[in-house]
Amino acid sequence: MALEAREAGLDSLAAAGAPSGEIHGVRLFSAAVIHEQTVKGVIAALRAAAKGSDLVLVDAGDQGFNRAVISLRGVDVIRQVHRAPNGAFTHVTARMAADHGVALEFDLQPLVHLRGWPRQRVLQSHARLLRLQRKYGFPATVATNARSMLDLRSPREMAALTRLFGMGEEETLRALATPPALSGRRREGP
Amino acid sequence: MPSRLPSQRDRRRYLLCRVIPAWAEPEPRAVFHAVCEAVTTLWGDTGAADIAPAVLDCSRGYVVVRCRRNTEAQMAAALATVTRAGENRLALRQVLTSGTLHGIRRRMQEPGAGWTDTQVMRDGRAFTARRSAGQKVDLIAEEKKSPELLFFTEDEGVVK
Repeated sequence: MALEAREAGLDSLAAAGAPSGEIHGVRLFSAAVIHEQTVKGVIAALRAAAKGSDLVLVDAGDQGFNRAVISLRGVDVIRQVHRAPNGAFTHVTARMAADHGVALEFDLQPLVHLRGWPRQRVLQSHARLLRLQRKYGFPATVATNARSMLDLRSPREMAALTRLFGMGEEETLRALATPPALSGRRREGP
Repeated sequence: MPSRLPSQRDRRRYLLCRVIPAWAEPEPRAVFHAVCEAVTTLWGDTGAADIAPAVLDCSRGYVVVRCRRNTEAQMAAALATVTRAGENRLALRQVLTSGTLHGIRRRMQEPGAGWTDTQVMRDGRAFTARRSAGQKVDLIAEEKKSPELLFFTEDEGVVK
């Protein structure tokens, strides 16, 4: 997968559960993905993930959950916002994310794999999130959530996919550079 | 029917895509159906008619796709959503966009492009060692009914 990522033009990968390091010239960031649905569960998982992870990603939930999670120390990215209930991510949450420097993830996996109205809903959700991102300026990331090299996409392909919901090429490249920046921030400490 | 003057013909663009994984050798017809399905589901029938997708070549780990000029971006987005061609799970990685087939063919014939096959014998069984761009070597058993996981190394160009 690292070889394929290098071929595709990626210089780094964030992989859940993998140790950080460098393989075939590709920098690996160790990511911890938290799937908990309660804030209590997230806090417990954060304690476990604090050591040895370059990035901590938490699945989005309802609005109250998202607000609580954004204000937690150690959370880098909120993911799967398109799967959260309607109104889970509003201008208030967007402002909080900008204040705390927590990034929001644009997941390209459903754009590749879904067809018909489920994909249309994801496109709507991403477009809404992009509008908030442009207004409030919170960090954004673009992810393919690849489980194999078949799901990996090159930056050029990612730019083609993000254009579907209105994101420009420069914005996409900036979003791709966000995880290394977040990882660097984590290493430097508060 | 007399051929049209070059100035009267539709302007076309050609996209060269690498097939991933390298060992997938999809049928050209299956690739065409996959590309058409991806274009139609993403851009609708009118969009697909405007793009006019066509698969011109499907060999040596590459697929050459044609579309109308100024629809390359739509075509590129649709190609990024191809996940399967017939029975094969695959991805089409875009390598080059060109206005002529000559440019595409030149890229396909560059040294290191595509893959090279070497026959390898191991325990009396025949394997094909497929070396792809990027130093990968995939070992493919000739007998397709009995897949076997193999670990191998390369020493002075010989797969062991």
